Order: sequence, then C-alpha cells, then structure tokens
Amino acid sequence: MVITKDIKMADVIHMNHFSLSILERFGIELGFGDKSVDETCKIYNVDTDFFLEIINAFIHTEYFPKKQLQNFPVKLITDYLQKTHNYYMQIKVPEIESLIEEMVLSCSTQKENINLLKRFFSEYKEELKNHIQREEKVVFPYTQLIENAFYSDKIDKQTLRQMDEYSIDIFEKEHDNIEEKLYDLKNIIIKYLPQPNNKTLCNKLLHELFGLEKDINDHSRIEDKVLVPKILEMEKGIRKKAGLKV
Amino acid sequence: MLKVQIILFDKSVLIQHGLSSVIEKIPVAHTIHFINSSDELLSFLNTSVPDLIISNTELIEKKHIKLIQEIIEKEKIKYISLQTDKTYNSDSIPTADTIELNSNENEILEIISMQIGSLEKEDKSKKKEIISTREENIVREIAMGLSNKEIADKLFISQHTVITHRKNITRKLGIKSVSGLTIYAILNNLIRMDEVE
Ligand SMILES: [Fe+2]
Ligand SMILES: [Fe+2]
Repeated sequence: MVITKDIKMADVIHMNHFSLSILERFGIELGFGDKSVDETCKIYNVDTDFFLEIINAFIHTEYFPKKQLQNFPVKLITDYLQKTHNYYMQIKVPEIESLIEEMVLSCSTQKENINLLKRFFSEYKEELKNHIQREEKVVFPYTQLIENAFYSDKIDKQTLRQMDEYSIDIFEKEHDNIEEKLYDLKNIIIKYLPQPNNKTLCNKLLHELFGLEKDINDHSRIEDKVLVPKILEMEKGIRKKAGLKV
Repeated sequence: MLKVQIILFDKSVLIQHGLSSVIEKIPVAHTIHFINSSDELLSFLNTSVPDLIISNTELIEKKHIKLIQEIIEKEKIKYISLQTDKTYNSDSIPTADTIELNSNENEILEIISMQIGSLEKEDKSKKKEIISTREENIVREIAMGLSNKEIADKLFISQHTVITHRKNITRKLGIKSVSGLTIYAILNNLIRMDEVE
C-alpha cells in the first residue's frame, strides 16, 4: 500500500517497522497518537511530500523511479542523505560492532572465527567511512554548486571549469555497491560459520545486518536514481545556458 | 560425525572380544556389531551400511564373496582383513589393511585408528563439496592475495578462465569480496589463519 499524507503515522510503523529508522532521521519522535502523516510532519517541520516520497521508496522497492522526488531542492535531498550517513556511522555500525564484541566475549568454542567476523566488519567500516566521506566532501558540495548555477542568471567561468574537472557522471561510475560486503557477511554467517554457542546473539547480529543492508540499499537508490538524474539534467541546462554543446 | 559402525566378523569369541576391547581404547564414538557367519554378514549388509568391517576373510563363503565385494565397493566401506592364517587372503575384496593374529595391541590400534581417521576426513570433504577442487584452489589463491593474472600464471590457465571460475565461485558461495572469500577459505581449512597477510 502506498502511503499518503492522510494515513495515520502509527499505521506506517505497523506496516513496516523498519521505517522507524527513517522517522528517526527526520527527527520525528514516537508518541504521535492518532495524528496523520501530514500532521506529524508539520509538528516536526518536515516537508510532508518529501517525507512521503522517501518513506514510500523505502517500503516499496519498486516505487522508483518517480519524477516527483527530483523536484525537491538538492539541499533537502543531500541533507537527508547526510543524516542517513550519520545514522550509519554513529548508531548502526557501533551497534553491530558491540554485538560482535559481545559474541567474541561470550563465545567459548569459536573465538577465532568470530574474530574473523570482527576483522571483516572493521574493514567494512573503514570502506563505508571512505565512501561517505567522498560523498560529503566532493559529491554533495558539487551538487549544490550545480543547483546554484542552474538557478542563477548567468553562468560564471569558474562553474564551467569545475564542471570540466568533475561531473556527476564520474560519480555515477565510481559509486560502488557499498552494501555488497554486508551480503557476503550475512552468507558467511548463515551458510558457513559453525554455529557459535550463543545463538541468540548470532541471530541478533544477522537481523542487524539485514536491516543495515536494506537501509544502505535504499539510500544508494536515492543517490543513483534521484540525485544523479537531477544533477545530470541541471548540468545539461547549465551548458545550454552558457551556449555550450550539450 | 555420527557413531562409527563397526562389524567384527569372526567365529572365535576370544578374537571378537579381544579386538573389541582394543577398539574401546580409540576415543571415537562407535558401535560394534558381532557377526558369526557369512550368511549373517550378508543379511546385515543388505539392511544397513557399516563404516568399517573387520573380518576374517576366510570365513566368507565363496558364494557370498562377489555380493559382499560389490556392496563394499559401492558403499565405500573400509575393510580390514583379519588374518588367522597366512595362507588365504581373498584378492577380490578390496582390503584397506590387514590385522594379523600375532599383531600386538599398538599395531592393531594404529591400523584401526587410521581407518577411522580417514572416515572422518572423507566426511569433512563431503560437506564442502559445494565448489570443485579446482575452484577451491582458486579461492585459496584469492585468499592469499593473488591477482587474477598471478593466479592464471601460477595455475597455468588463462586469465579469462580465472574470471569464469571466480564468477562461478561467487554464484555458488554467495560471497563476492576477497575478504569474504578469505574467511570462507579459513573456515573450510583451505588456508591457515597465519598464511593470510
Ligand atoms: Fe551515501
Ligand atoms: Fe553512496
């Protein structure tokens, strides 16, 4: 079911509890009683349409691509993406790390193997950090630059030079599947790791990995299917305005 | 591994009990079935498959030999021949080893332990048969940090073949990254922890 602005916010959570993490990113707190999505968004100063697009894209993977998301200001999109980055690095990754640490400590039979998982995940964390840093330091500022130029009356040389140096299709090409390794890790645990004595912890870890993988997947989709096409369009517009070949 | 099923076939109670008391000293879960006649052996083999047969080959009747031999070969049962006399040892039954009547306890222990040990090894290799031996070798090299080209040179195959193998490995295992494959290699004893890096 596609979520609309008049549906109760509580029902959104009932429908898919993973959307809790989306709410958290928008700063929406629980306890919304019977308020609708629209009412709740207004209280927290969240753009309702943007929220709806994000939450629907998250719940229904086939919901994309919708042109509508591309009409939102770049800042709204990159702010959301950035908040998601923070959520990964500050909440999810530490959570998983401490789960693995707990497993190492409580496991008597498989310490060495769990340590392998630990090492794998810390490698992954490093990669994720680099991935995110690249986006926040290079890609997002560039998208803002393009949007500003797109809406300004005249295009200055500096913008054009920057477009020569870096353009969004470079990002499109270099943007790697950062969730891929999580898939590996899941399979190692599901298929190949001899069961550690603390199965509850192990299942919890798997659950977290599934959640993070889905979340990152969704996040990357917004980068690839919303941000990239939007900037591509604008780059074209800028070139046209500057009288260059498109 | 489940309990090792062992058949002891000899007419002599002394031999049966002597051997079983030696087997008790091997620290592997097992069940011993005492069998006294060729008929009994055949009917046992027709209903269940033991892992190991220790038998006085002389006592197997000629008319049974072919059938028993077929079952042993088909089910890959380890067969230890018990030699009471130096005169007779059927060459139709594939014999893994021979215990002689005058062997001492240590010799007997060693022979039986070896056969049980090889059972365990085969059991393990059955489990990881998901990828072929060739693919296993490639996973090993990947885990050692070799590039496609290095692997191709080392195994005398083309880079293209290495890439095909890698694709198949990823598809079969559900693991794509080098560090993921490394963990797989360690978990499956393709490589030792200290060999990595
Ligand atoms: Fe991102
Ligand atoms: Fe990304």
